[in-house]
Amino acid sequence: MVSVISNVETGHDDMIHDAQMDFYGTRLATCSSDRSIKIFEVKGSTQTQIADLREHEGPVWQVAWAHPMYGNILASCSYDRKVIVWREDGHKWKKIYEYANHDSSVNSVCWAPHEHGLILACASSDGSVSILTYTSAHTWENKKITNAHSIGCNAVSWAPAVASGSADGSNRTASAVQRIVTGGCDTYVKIWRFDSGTGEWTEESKLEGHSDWVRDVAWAPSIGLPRSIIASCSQDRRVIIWMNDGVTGTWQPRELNTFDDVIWHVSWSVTGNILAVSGGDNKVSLWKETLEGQWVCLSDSAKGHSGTERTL
Amino acid sequence: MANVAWSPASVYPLYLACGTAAQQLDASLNTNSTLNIYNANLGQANLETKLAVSVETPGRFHALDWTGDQGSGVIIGGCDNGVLYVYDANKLIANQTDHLLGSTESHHSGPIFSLSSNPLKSNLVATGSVDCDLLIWDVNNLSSPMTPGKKANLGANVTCVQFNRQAEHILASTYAGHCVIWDLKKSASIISIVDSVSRMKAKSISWNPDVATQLLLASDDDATPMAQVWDLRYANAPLKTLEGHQRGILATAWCVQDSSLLMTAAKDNKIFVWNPDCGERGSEIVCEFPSYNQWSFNLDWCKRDPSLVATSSVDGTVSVYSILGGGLPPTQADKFSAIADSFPGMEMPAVVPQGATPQPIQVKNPPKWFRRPSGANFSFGGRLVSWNKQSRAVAISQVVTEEKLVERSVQLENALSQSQLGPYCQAKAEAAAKPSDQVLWKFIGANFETAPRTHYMSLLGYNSSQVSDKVRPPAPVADGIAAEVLADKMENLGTNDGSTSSLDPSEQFEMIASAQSFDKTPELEEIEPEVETKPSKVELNVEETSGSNEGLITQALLVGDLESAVELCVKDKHFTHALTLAAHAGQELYAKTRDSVLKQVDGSLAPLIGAVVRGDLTSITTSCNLGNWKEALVAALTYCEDAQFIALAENLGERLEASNIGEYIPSAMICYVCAGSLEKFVSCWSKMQPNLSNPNELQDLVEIIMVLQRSLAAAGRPVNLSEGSTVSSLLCQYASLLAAQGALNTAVSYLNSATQGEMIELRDRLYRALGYQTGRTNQQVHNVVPQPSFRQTPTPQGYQSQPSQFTPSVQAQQRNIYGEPTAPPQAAPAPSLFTPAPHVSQPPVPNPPTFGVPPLTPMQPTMAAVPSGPPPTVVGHTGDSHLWAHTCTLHAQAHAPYSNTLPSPLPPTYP
Repeated sequence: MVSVISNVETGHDDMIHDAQMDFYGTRLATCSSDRSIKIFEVKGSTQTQIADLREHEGPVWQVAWAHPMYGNILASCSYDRKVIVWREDGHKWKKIYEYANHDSSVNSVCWAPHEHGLILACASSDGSVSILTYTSAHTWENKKITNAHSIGCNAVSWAPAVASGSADGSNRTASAVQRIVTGGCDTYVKIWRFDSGTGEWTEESKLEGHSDWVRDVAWAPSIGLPRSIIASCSQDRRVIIWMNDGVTGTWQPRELNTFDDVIWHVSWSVTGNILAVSGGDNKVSLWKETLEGQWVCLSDSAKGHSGTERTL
Repeated sequence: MANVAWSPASVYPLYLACGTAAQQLDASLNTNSTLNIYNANLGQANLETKLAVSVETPGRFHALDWTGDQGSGVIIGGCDNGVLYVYDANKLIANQTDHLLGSTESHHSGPIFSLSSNPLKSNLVATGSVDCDLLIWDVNNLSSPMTPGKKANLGANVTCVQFNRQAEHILASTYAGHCVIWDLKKSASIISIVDSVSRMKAKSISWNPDVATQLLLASDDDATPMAQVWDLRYANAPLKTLEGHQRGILATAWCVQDSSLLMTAAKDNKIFVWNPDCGERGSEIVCEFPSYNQWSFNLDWCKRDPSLVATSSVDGTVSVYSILGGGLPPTQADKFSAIADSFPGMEMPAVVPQGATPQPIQVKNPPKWFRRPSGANFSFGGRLVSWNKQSRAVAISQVVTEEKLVERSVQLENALSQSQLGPYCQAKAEAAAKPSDQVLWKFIGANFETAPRTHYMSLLGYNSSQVSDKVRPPAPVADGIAAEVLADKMENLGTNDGSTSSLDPSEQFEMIASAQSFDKTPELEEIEPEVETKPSKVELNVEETSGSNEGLITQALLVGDLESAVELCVKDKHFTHALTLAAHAGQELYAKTRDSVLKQVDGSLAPLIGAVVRGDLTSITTSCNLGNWKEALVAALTYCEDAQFIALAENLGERLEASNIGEYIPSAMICYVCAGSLEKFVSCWSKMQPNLSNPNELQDLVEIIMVLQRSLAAAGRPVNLSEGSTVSSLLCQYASLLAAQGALNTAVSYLNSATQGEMIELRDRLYRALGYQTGRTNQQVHNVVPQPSFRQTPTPQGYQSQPSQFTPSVQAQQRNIYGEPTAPPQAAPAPSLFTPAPHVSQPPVPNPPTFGVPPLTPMQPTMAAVPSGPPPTVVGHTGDSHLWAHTCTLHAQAHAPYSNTLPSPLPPTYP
């Protein structure tokens, strides 16, 4: 059920830390400890490198594609404490903005749902989260949540822009409410809400469940139900699925599994029903919620249930 | 001043133990001693570190360690009174008084300067005291320590002991400036490290966490302010020397989670983090802690969170640093004043931290445990992008989680690309698990037969010959009337009008009646007995008798007042006479008479007969017992032309659906299928199978939708997918499901006629994913991408409905159960041209079309549908496009090629 289509030889000189496809799945951006970002055009099993971006002065942790309605825009964050926004201009990629207002490594960047505008959230080891907004005056405005996670913030993810509560998928309306979820070294997962009245981000929920660094958080895309789902993974080798039914407003944790190694990364499928979990042992497993509400492992690259499964 | 020890790696939450230090540096005269445990509580925004517990201890600590795990942690302290104390950490935290597990009395003759718990056997603890005195303890049995080997007689204090991290039996110790390595298995020292070059006097030891034979030795002698990495295999000279401090090094710590990080604290008030493995000199200072103007004499790398380091300085402050930044540097001054406070009597420096403008610390390169080694990200189309540290390549994989769905969608795809969907429907019917689904698919399949309505009939359990067979079993040819003969006679009838007929009227009736027997309909079960054909004598009785109007009738007949005669006949209940006369008198009178007769006849048949003869089946479908839905549907099939049939079948379906009786729901769906009411069908289905998030159920529904759509399009009834309709949002849902399985080409074909924002968005994304260059706007999309409005194949010619050879004639077709023609048939069609089911068309009933369906279709195909064109081929595509629309366009004119008025038998061509 998981078959490798192509292997993109990145040519990076050091460990790869992130690889993201653009909105259409035709371009691949990778970043590495070699401080570079590379962009590839991927077609079928062939790929062509179209950019090699070298502005960061430290390992580049993450890249994020903005929604194409804003153009071909990529954000990157690095151990060098900087966030850089890149844009393709003609056939050249250029740095259009550099944000250097963090005191420590910036570990995660995530674009807001396009309905909110061109907004980037950045999580840093200095414990703060920056929200960078591209304004109509063509400037970048930043808001900072200081001390979001006192000893370091590792990951940030936006809530989908669909109003929770509209059960009918056909009647989707963009929610005015902006929310993000963050995960930190303090073992907490926190949910923040933008208060348009005060113009400030305030802590809405603090989810306690992990017992070590939260390495990654991912807010699931809406599947048209009123509920919200967040996945978090941790150094404690566990993945927790947090579910908010949209009625009680509380977040119920459910432990997905305790794995053999540290879980570094969680990623939801575009339709929001499959979760990919990747760990320090290089294993990737796919999880899905059954109709009965149980989470089951669909495929574990390590176990190799059948011949078609491949070690990722 | 305090010696510090973090709780073990497995303990959560984090605690930090601080024991009053007994270092020689302490100038305090206060002899109090406490062991404090702090809750590190790093989740607090203000990093407030709460004192969890504080206990008085008999001695001051030279060394402190915390081992074990969550359940059975022990805190071990080596004190200036020569005693080793072992505390139960959990009991301490719980503030229980029996927290002291044990202590060693009178084994060491002097203070315990150093201790080390074995990383691999946590019950083993080594202690070093005065006079080269080394002992190994089992914390569970403190009565009988062992010695690592023959004791040296140097009279020196043991300044440091450290167990190796990989070999549990290897112990390093320092005294008299050199380092002695012991093998506990051999109970002997195996090597002694002496720096004969720079003459560094080793005081502190840290084993390399990764390389078992390497250790770091450091000297607190200001003359040799360095640390050296030695490898026991090459013990002639240090492997490398870490030079950078200006004065002697007081403490060292090697990061267990990343051996490329080690830390030194020296009398120059500096704390450095080194990477011993890089730099031109073989090692490099990768981080310097903020200047503090105080000696730090104790370091402990947090065992659980390797970004944290606790340091203890001679001013009585314990600080916790993160080597990755974070925290609130400005408040660190306040943060651990609590600690200082809890060591009453200790001298508090006037200014706590000297680093007035603390800079966040960040080691030059990220530690090993900070670098994400692997990951997997989903992207559009069910692709998974994954990478790991073993490779510089990124793998792009296709994830298929709904294999069954993909398989079925391919089958559907194949079926839809064929000209004939009948076999697909048949296969579906055969494979269906539920009887109701079997029936449903049979009905859907009937749409693709040459005469769908005939098939509906037989599926409903009726066929045209069955009744006549019951009424008159097939008779020998000699007794019967051959069809050909009858046809001739019918033709003759058609050419004569009643008044000039040479035939006796009763003979005409008989002929009509017998003709009818060839195409009896199920409803006509009560067949009138055959009219007697013997000629009878004509009575002319004009007498008016009471109780009978026979005389008056005769009079009226004689004078030709047929209307009065009819009226009187009706009054006398001579219905046959009345109808006979009325039929003779003309259409208008006949209709009037028929209606008044039907009002007067008793019995349940009358309403049906009325409905049949009036050609108004509405009353049947709206009022019949729901249990007889099949019969009602059959009646509608028999008597109604398409537009009305559709209305009636839909109406019947609505009634069945509204009944909310489970068993009628499948029947309602059958009615909707017959009526081609896609939206109604879908909403009814959804009601029954609310769980369309189950992909297989969605697939079930989409199969029906697509096949029905095809049959409707073929029948010239394109489906209008109104914006926001259930069908279009289901197709969008289906397309996105297929897209998530990587079936992008298929997915896009369900969206080609997208009209809604969401669908357009998905379609645009699919186009781009498939490599088509499109603009953002819908318009551009349309310009760039071929937009076939149909998925493909010509429909069977039978549905192209060439003009019927049979032009319905009201007169010719109007008949009633009495076998009386209302008017002499003018152009009776040859019976052979009829399809087996009699088709009685309506007199123009004022029945406004309830559907926007153009009244295009003649009632039934008159001929077997034989595709007259070339074999079905894919048309309407240019280039390499495989993007065939499954959905029908909103514009009826787009279907012009399918218009049933098209006289040409040529296959449709697309603009």
